[in-house]
Amino acid sequence: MTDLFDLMAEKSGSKEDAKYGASGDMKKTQYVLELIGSPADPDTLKCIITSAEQGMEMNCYSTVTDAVSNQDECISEISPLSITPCLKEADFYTCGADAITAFTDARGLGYALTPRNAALAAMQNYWVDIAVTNVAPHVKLITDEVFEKRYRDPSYKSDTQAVNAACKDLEIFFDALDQQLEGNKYIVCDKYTWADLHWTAYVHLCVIAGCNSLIDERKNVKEWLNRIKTRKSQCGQDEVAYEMLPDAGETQQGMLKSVAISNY
Amino acid sequence: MGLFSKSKPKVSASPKLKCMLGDTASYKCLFLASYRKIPIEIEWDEPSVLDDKMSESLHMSNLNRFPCIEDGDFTVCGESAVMTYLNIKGREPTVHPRKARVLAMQQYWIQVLKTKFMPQVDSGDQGATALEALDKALIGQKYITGEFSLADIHWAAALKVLEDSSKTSIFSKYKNITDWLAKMKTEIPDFDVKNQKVAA
Repeated sequence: MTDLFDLMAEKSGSKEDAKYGASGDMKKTQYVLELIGSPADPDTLKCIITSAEQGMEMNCYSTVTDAVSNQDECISEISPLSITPCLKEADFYTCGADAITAFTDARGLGYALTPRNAALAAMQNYWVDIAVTNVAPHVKLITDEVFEKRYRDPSYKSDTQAVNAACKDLEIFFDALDQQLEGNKYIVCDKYTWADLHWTAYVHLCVIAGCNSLIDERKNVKEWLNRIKTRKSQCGQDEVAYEMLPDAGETQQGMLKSVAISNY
Repeated sequence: MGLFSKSKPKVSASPKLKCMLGDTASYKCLFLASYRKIPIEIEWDEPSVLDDKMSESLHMSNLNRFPCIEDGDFTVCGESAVMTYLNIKGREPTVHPRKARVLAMQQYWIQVLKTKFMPQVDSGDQGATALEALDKALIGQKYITGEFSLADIHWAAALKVLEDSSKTSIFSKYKNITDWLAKMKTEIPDFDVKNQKVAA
């Protein structure tokens, strides 16, 4: 089997950097995680945020800029049902945001993100469900128009009407989020949970795709996003997970940044 | 409270689970409550948007999430939220793999069900690709991930609904899957529940 991770690491130029422990410095994380995904894919962003929150280093390879010639075939070897993004840790492979985020959360150095209180945990997953079921389809339409179609054809002009309509359709959910955040530091309570992590991925894509009004016109959402942009990671290390996400320019180019933990 | 002081008697009316016959999400919640021996009152009904009080209060009308659970003054709707609630409540151990790799496998198979198998079946397809993969994964395994997990609950509920709607032929040719399902029927106490008021 061709190891797509090795091929993409070589293409991205991080193969030499990834020789873990070569310098003699031992990090708390046993292995460096490797991720294959797309910068315009919210599921990929969720994996990156989880990794940064839990203090796990992650080399990220983009299916756009680090693409190899037989990429689809190689992905189907790792993920026979074509579920992406894909993760590798030593001899272990898994695919899909749910599997990768759960794995990283369990392997990481920080506290688990799910609240112990049953009602709060249920509320958390209610908001995750809203994000994944109701918000995601509209965000996908936006990212397809603004990013994905341009990856395939750089001369593609995005359909502004379709993007604006999708932004409009999202308003009801952002209004609800704004209402929920009234008096709350984070979505469910005063602690950061999976609900915040999922919404961060979708909100970030809306911002860099130009749908800023969804955030700017809602005071509580705007304040929440400012908190997300500056909060230190869950694992207690001096990292801000949001800064690991690709910005608008990087996303336009199809680039992903790796998660590097500097103060281990 | 002091060491020898009387503990406060717990007044605990059973939570009420509002389910819909033929709905996979309802059976997932029911199976989890049953497996974890959580006493619940089951109400079989047509779902109403008014049940989803949280979405209504947030002005997200017509989301119509179900099933719903009502426990005292707490109400939440939607498979994910209700299952999370039922997996924490009660005294039985939570269904949650401790090993990160098993946890990842659990989540992977739940995603396969939700994003690959169910959409194919709903569009009239046989979902063969996902079933072939599941059948292969079950070779030499008692459970989908090797140990009992939420993946078993999710898939058992989906296949039960297919069975109840006379669509067993979709999966009956996969021996490992049918053997595993037969095992699930003995391990999930209320697998054949239809109208009982109280599970467990």
